[in-house]
Amino acid sequence: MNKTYLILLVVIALGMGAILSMYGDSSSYVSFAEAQKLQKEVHVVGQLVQPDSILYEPLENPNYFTFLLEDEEGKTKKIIYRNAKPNDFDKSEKVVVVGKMNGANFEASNILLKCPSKYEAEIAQQ
Amino acid sequence: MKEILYENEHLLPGNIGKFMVVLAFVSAIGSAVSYFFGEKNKDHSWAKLGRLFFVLHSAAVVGIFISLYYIIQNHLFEYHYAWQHSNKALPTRYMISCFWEGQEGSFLLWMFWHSILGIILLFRSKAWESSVMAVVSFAQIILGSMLLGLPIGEVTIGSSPFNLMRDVLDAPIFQKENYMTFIQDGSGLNPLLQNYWMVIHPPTLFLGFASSVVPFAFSVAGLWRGKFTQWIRAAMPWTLFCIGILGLGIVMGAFWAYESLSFGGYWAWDPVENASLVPWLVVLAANHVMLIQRANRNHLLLSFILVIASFLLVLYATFLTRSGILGDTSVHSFTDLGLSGQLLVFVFFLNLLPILAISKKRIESFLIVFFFFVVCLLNFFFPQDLRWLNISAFILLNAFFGWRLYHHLPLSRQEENIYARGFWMFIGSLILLLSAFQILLTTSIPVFNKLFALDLAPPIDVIEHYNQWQLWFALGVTTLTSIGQFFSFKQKKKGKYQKTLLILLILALFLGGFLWWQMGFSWKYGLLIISSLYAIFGNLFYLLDIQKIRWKLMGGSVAHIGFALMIVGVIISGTQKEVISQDKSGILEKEFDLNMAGENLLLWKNSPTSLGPYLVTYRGDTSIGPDIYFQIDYEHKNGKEKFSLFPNAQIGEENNLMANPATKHYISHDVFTHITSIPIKDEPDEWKNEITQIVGIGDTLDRKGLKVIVESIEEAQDLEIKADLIARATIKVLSVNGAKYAYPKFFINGNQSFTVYDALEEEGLLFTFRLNPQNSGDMNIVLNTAERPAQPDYIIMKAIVFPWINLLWLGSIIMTVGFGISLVKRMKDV
Repeated sequence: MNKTYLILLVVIALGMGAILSMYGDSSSYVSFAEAQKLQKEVHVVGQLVQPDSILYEPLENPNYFTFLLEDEEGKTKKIIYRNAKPNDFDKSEKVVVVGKMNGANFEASNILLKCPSKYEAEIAQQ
Repeated sequence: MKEILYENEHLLPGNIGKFMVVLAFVSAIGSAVSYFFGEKNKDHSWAKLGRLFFVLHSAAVVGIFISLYYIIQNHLFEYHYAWQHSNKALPTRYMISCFWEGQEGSFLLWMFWHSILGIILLFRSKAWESSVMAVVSFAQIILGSMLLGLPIGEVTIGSSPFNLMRDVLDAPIFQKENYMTFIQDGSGLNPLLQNYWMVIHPPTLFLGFASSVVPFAFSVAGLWRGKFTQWIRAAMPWTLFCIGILGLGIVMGAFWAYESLSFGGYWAWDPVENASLVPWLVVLAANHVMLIQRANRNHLLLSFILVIASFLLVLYATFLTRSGILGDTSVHSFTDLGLSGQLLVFVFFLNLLPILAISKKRIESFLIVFFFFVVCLLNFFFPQDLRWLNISAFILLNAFFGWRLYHHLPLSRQEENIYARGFWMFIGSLILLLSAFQILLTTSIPVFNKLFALDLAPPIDVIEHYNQWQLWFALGVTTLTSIGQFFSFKQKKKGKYQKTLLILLILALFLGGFLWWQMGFSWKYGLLIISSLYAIFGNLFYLLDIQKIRWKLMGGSVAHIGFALMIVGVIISGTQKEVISQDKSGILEKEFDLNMAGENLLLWKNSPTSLGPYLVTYRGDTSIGPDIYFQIDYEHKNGKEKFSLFPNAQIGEENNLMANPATKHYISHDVFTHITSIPIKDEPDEWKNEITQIVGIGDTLDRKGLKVIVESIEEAQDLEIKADLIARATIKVLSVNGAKYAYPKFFINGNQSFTVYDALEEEGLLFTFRLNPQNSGDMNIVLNTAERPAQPDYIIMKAIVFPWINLLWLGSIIMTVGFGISLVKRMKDV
């Protein structure tokens, strides 16, 4: 039965490895204040409170997009995303930014959008 | 309260639909009950009745389908489903896609496939019919209830696709009798679903999902009848069918993502993609374990567990994607209809079937059902926080099941010899399971957050997180597919193929090493390419030399070759892909990181720009319906290669761009082009500062600081306007973007004359001219110019070259063919 146990042991070890790696690689949802402290890549969930702050000037630089985001503690930071402005951005109310703080600004490597379901808004208008 | 008599509603199709839903539900119950007694009493007349009920059920499902399609096709927007998922502008060819945008439609599609599969089983399952069909009918009861929309107290069971707008939404306009006059159009189908691949990919994927019920039903039937090993032979063609179709569905999804999504790739380890990959890996492992079982009677327990697990994982995948629990982690957004609780209860329900099937004593079955209902009731009355109870109940039930299986089954206690094929197939299956386990874990992070009140976010670099594990699993699997087949099932000693295997390995090392050196892979990918080539060579040799191409036997090898080819395609296209739209202009900025050139590039209209090996020119846009097509000309710098691409976009609310890429396909590489941004076109200003002056040929004027040259006037033709004389002027404007030409026209017909202007929007200049006869007989050229702010015309785009991506698609086709060949062989076995 030695072989069976050996295989079982390897499988369990790999399974545990997968669990540990899931836990170790996982990031966390934090506020800007914590992101400042941690100085590593994190997820920040926030609201677009100032639609006027959305700035994308493709003629100047098509890979530079900034806006102001208010996190769940009510703190607002400038987000810099060195890429084109994501489609559907203006429609989204909730935004998740992935990245880290760089001085006073948040350098986003990725932006995830949550759009409100469009039909609720329409019916409200009627 | 007075009842309101609404005007202009079409209630008949909805009422027919609702009736069909109830009929489908009731006939599924009838079928399940009849088949149950047919099986229990070994009574053929019960089974006959079950058959009748199932045919009735299938007809009702088709009826639901037709009713809903009728509503969508006739734009009956009084129905919420039609209003939410379609509109009048939707082309007929995409109407079928409305079924999979909504949750109700998806359950309907699932039921539809179950019905078709059930009808096939009526003819093909022979002696197994009553037990297998009892299980399938039971699954149909559960799916059918998801469409009921039946209110019981506070909760509603299911959600009906035939709900009226005024039933669903609580708005004051529904107090008006003529509310229909206010609802002129629906809110439309997501433009991403308006795509050829989105018409065929979801039904294929759902057929794959749906077919997993059949092996599951056979395993339950095997337990129920005590035919613990015989069910495997009958279930094997269905397992292969499930693998083939589900695999095809996944690849189609990848191809759709590649062809129509903006992220520039075919696989992003998105939770929705993973949710369908995990069951596929598990069914694949199940298939291999079942093969070993058929050959040497080992691994019976694992066959049961994997077949049941793959079905439960399909349900879990549905729960993940449809419950909204993925929330922030997935780019796919599905709305929750509040059915997730119900869906979970049903996963438990179906989980009970095999457990009940193995319990032979009535009191035991009774206790299990009683236990289950107590847990359900507790959840119903104390919905706040019973997750520990639920988790424990789930584990307890399945642990009990495992224990019963272990004691009931005629398990072989003999250990596999390491020179036997079964041993290596088993190791391969374990690797597939580990691969599935790792994907499942990280994908389930949002579920763990809910269950254990954690606050984990997915890994920052998701792709790298999965790749670092999956790479080694792929390495193991590809190597084993090559070695495994050279052992026989009964082998006890080293075989005669050692030398062959060594030669093939050297061959793979040479070719793989060459590619490694040529393409500069990292060492991990270098090893994987060698192991994949080894798999291809090994299976090819086995196919040609050992099997002598007997087509009935070659399914496995063909599928292995396809799989390995896919891996080769993935490695090369993934590691060698090159973003050629590098924008380095921003690097001059102070805060810009030097090694971070942007991936999006600005292209002025008609101004050739260098992109990698190409000179690329944006030529302008054309609107076809709601779509805007952008013509982008590519010319290779060596002058030999020339093509145009037409990526398109729709402009949604608030000027949101919804873009579809376009790709030029070559055998060796693809050029992928995607529009990321276009200037917002405002309502243009009026033309002003009109100046009229007499000019001569060759005169140079100055407008807005640009040189305007009157080059020539010629007689011309016009396709639409007939006139005695048509004159065309050629006016050259020297702008920053080089020379531009405007061609205004002047017409004389009898006594009448008129002009047709030509405008250069990017420069904001408009030209008209007349020819005035002079006394001397000469003509005076009277040029009229006007100006307004320039409308810049440019696009921001991204272009990626994917080398050898066709190996991936070719591999997937070969793999599917392989499964097909095996399926035919196993069907003949039954």
